[in-house]
Amino acid sequence: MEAEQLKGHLDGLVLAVIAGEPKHGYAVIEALKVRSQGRLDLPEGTVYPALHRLERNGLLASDWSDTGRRRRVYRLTTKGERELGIRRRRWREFASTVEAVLA
Amino acid sequence: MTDTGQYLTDLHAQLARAGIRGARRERIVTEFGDHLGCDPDADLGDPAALATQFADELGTSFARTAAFQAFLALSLAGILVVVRAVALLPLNAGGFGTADTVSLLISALAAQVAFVAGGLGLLRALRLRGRATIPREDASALMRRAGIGLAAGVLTIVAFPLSQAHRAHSGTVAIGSHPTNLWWPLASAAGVVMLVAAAPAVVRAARLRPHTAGPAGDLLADLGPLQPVAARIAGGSLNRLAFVIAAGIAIVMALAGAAANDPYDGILRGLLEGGVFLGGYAVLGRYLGIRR
Repeated sequence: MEAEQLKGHLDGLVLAVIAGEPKHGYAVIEALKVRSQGRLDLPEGTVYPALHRLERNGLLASDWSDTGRRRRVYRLTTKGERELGIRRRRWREFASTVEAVLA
Repeated sequence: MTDTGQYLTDLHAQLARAGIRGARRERIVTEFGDHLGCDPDADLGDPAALATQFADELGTSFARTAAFQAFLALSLAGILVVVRAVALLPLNAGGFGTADTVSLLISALAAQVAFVAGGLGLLRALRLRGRATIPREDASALMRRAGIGLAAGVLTIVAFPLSQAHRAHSGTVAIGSHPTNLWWPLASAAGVVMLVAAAPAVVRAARLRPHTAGPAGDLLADLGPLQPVAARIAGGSLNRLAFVIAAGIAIVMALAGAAANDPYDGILRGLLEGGVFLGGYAVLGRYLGIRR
């Protein structure tokens, strides 16, 4: 799946992989690869602007962690959890609509 | 220097070139350094493109925040201006001199500019909310509307107290003897502090603007659901819309004067207000992104 097709969905995907447990940037990208079984062809650097944007919008919060290497660890906020729920519901509605037409 | 070190140096330089400096830049470079520490072969992308993306998104966020903060500060200051006006009513019983009249006119004019600029800033910020990036021209319009709104707000507040101070100094009004005299300087000072407190957001937005090219919308684009009606009135010309609004203001003022049994004063005020509106439109319209 190419980056162009992911436009508009990246924020939701990032929220989803962080929802399980707090993650730093590299772990977010790895989780995206693992959960998509390697099908997401994502320019890795673009995840960082998305993380910063989501934090500015109050959907993520972050702190420095100094376990070995200094890294920024992101976690979902309450607002982020709500937003993820909304995005999941919208996606299911969209996917079922498209599926109904295509099938 | 290793490839990783070279990449981080390039990223550092490109972020600075894009206008991102200080702790924010250090944080980004540290995060990318951590990523490359985990996977030295990771393809993170072109540093220049990444720096531009960060700057575009940050600049967009800063511009919107400036508009929202300016409107909030202007709203709160507006309440204080009303409180102050009520507190000043007894002091005005001593009559108006030339300095008072000039100050009052400046204050009234500045209040309208502040209201229009701050309100239009809010409208555009609301229209552009949710977008990760906006064109540079839109960000500039947001920043200018916020800046002009705040500056006009400060002028609104200081013009009138200066006049009162002048009167107190000349002995026309014994300010210190009136029980309400404490409220207007306090309300004035609080209003100015609120407006000045919102200024750093405007400065921040001015220093980091998105690089994205593209046309900025005009007043019609900002009007949202009212756009079709306004477009019909404008008939393809914003100047025509401005004349219609100015005429509307003049008519309303004239009717208000007639209702107060002073039609001559109403007509005079209406012509003045309509003229001021057109003057503001001519002088600030393009700068504030009201017309192209």
